[in-house]
Amino acid sequence: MDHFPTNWGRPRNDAYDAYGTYPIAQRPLNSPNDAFTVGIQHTQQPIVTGTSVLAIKYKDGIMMAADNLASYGSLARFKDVQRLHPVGNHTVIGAGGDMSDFQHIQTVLDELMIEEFSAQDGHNLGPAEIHEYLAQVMYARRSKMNPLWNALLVGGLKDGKRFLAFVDLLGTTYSASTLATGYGSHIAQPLLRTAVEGKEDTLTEEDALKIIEQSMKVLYYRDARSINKYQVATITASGTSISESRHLETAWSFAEGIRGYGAQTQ
Amino acid sequence: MSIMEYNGGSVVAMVGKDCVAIASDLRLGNQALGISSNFQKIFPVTDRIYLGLPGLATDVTTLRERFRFRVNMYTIKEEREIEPETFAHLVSSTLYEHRFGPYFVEPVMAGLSKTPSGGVKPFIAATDLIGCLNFAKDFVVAGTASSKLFGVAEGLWEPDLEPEDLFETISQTLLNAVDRDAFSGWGCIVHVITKDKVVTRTLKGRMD
Amino acid sequence: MSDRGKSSEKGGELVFGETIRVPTVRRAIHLSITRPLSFLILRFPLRPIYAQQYSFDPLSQSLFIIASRLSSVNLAFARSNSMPDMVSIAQPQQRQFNPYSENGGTILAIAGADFSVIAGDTRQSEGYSIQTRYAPKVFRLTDKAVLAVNGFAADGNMFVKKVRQRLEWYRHAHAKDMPLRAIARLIQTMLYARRFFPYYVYNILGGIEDDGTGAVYSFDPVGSYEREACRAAGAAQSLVQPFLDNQIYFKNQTPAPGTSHPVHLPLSTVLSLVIDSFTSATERHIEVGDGLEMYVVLAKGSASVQGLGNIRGIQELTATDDGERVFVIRRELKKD
Repeated sequence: MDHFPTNWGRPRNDAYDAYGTYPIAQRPLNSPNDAFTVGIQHTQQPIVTGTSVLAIKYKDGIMMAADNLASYGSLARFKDVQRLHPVGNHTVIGAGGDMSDFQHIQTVLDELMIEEFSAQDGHNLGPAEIHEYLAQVMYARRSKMNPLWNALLVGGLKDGKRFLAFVDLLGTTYSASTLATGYGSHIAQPLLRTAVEGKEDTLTEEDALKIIEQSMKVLYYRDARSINKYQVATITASGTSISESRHLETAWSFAEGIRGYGAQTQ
Repeated sequence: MSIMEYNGGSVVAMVGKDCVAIASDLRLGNQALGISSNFQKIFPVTDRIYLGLPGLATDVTTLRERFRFRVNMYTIKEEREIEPETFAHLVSSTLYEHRFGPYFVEPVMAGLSKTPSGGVKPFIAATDLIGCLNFAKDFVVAGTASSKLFGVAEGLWEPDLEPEDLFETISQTLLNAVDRDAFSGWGCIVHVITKDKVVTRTLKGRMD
Repeated sequence: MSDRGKSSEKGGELVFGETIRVPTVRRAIHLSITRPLSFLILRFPLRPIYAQQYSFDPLSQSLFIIASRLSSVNLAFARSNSMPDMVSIAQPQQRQFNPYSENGGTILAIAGADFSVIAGDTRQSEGYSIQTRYAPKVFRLTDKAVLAVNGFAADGNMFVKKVRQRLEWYRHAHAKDMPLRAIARLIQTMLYARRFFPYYVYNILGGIEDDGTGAVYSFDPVGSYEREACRAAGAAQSLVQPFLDNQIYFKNQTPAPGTSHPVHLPLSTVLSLVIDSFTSATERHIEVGDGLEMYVVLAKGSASVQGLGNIRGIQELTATDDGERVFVIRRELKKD
């Protein structure tokens, strides 16, 4: 539906993006440019991007999921990318946004874990510490006007305590029993909340998996930057595990009769 | 600069027990500059209906006359006084006629409608500048101090207020709201409409 | 056309992409320019200092060509101005990273004679999305100081972190907690230090002064501050502050003959007003709701402590035996 009445009845112009959807995750400019900003390349935009990450708390720990697609604009460029990354034995992080920035984050975190391991001081970093560290890195980078263009979920379980939190390119953080990034925060988060809130301590792994799978399916139906191939991570008392890629079974017969969805053009 | 804030001004209406009240500030401004401290923006439509028109002053004047004309036409054709509900729809449709080049006002109506048993029922309503009707059961606000009016009214208003208590409530709501609004104030006027009379009081307010 | 091109200084009507008249200063390239601008751009690359945009000088009625980016696509856009403003993907994207966001919520503080109440809702949002229903905005700094932060959450959390660090250093250096008025000045200095890349945060500091009185300090994002008896800030400031003017300062109210308004209200009244303020704000503002946290700071030997005993779910957070006591009271707010 075109919400601009002056366009009604006029021929469509494909040069215009009526909904302002390009580029995907850009925020509006809030200040005028001055002459001094010319020539300084502080800013960027995401290039190869991952879409939503979902995560929920359940009885035994945290379950997280992300599909295997890394898009180049609207091109489904890399279809076998892992967007979930284990950090130590108690934590998994999942990333949406720029995949090269995410790979940088993986490198930084892996180095950090080695450094911490080398100290041999009997301490090892849990999900809360890793989230705090990431938040500080993300906030520092945004303050240098050179952000790491990601939305990250950090999930884990350490000393019997479940942890699930979010951090993004602005350094904004929050925690809740269900979290989702990107389109997931609009499409999947309401589903996750109804399914999980109040039941965090009773949901079994089987229940949690069903909720996650259902939400990934809904996302695949509606998010044009998603793919029907995804991985699920669980973090429980027995450590982290990231599944092999799973395939989503979807049915599109309903689309046949819908104009603009199926094969017909008029 | 928004055209809705060009002249400033605010209106609020509240429901009481068998009574309604409508009140406005008296300021007319040219942006930050105060021009008049006696600019009426509430007008009687019938003996039992009052209409408040906060917004662009030139449209306030135009619409007042336009509504007077349309209500007179209604009265002549129908040979009876217009009911508040009907008048609200008249306001709405008049504004929607100008959907793509609107009058810059947000009308607020308050009145008493007749019930089949011969009693009266309080009625308030408000619309946006293109005539989207809002029939509230408690209070309606409009103008440059609307967010302040919402806050104070939500804290002070209660159901079934007697006329004198309703007067106090709407007066306190308006005075305290406009004192926090740079574009409203410079005195207030309050009308309390009951079955057999309308009491109009002018309030002193801060003049800064 | 070429004649008009020559009499460039005299001015005339300007048509995009057809004729271009160039001022004297750039006469070197003006002669016989009658072809579309794109041609000119290709043949006459300009120095990078002009590589900005085009600007139009209304006095000389001339187009100063200082655009290198003005492509033929752009000119097509300039011609077809019958479309309303929309985001066009045909234009070059020149957007900048915005380091700020706004996370909603509201905070509020009221000072009593020997106590302070500092409150905030717990919803954190961005746009129309609720990020979480529990993200605290009110923080205990010491046993006599509580800080509420509202605005951009990432800045808020970082700011609280840095204030706490400074207070810890003070404790290590002076073996006591920093006095409230000193914390207020510290916050002003820390905010002003970031004058040209501000913390996008509204701060309200509440607590007990050294003289045992309840105090509230409110700040703007760059450090302007004052001591007040009450203050609301954040998304619903405009809803709450006039209500407080009326109920705390008794604005627009005249006392009955022979009586006067109280200067300070009792704790129970203040708590009721805080709850009412937040339920009202929740009702009418979409960014306010979910939960309410009210911190109560009592002065040494405050009699208000009696009233606290029967409050549902109250929790004491006092850490030292200096005499001041800190409590937190949590309440649910509507979640819609």
